[in-house]
Amino acid sequence: MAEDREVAGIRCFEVLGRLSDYLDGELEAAARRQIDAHLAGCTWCEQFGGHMGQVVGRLRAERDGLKLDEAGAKRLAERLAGLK
Amino acid sequence: MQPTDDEDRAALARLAAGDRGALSGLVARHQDALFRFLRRLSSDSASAEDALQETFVSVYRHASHFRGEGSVRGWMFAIARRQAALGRRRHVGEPAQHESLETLGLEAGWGEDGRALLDRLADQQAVGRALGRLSDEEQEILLLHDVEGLSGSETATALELSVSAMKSRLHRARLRLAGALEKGGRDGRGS
Ligand SMILES: [Zn+2]
Repeated sequence: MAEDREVAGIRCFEVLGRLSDYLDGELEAAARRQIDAHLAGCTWCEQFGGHMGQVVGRLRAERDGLKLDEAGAKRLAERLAGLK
Repeated sequence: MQPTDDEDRAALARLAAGDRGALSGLVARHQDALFRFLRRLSSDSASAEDALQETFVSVYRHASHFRGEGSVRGWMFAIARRQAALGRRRHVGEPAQHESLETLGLEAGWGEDGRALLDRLADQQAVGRALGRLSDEEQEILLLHDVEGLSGSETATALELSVSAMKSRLHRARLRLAGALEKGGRDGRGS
């Protein structure tokens, strides 16, 4: 059973709390290095961080495929052309 | 800030000066992204289209209200978001339930072998379905930041939040999404 523990001077649940900033490259170098060290020594966080990274990466693909269709674009243009 | 922001600012300045022709550039650059966002937050394509039209009408009428902070894109998404909320007849800033990060993390599969999540990720449609199971508030921040790729400050502008409040909401929404994926795996089909 996994539990919150301290590795490299930082606890799992603190790593969990900073994971988005870590994945987004928003952490300062020292904080980033500390989390790198925790991940290197903690299987649970290393695995979870990898999965979260994949989930976030996959969201980007949701952008593909959906566009305003031609008829919708035409209706929009007509609506805007009628504005006073 | 994205490279088109200079063009967007120039277009808004022209609009504010009464030049309606300046709308066409804004429409060409942003209609698809705004439509995708609105489509996700609307019950059907027709409502999304209505909200999109009203968004650009509002951009036209309120061009002079843009205060110049943040990007034009973030400002337009803020307008679109309000339009979507009008369509849903619901309050925009509805607070989310506040589970602890630890609870969200455990529900998202921290401390498990994560096979369910990996299985779900192998299914191309699973992420879209899991996204649809989240609250509107969670969906909109993921759509803006992670799907459309708005920067942190643009997303904060669009949601009318501080950057730090935006980051905290983004993190919770991602954990909730991973949790919804996990749950989808455990429940079998999880449509
Ligand atoms: Zn850990």
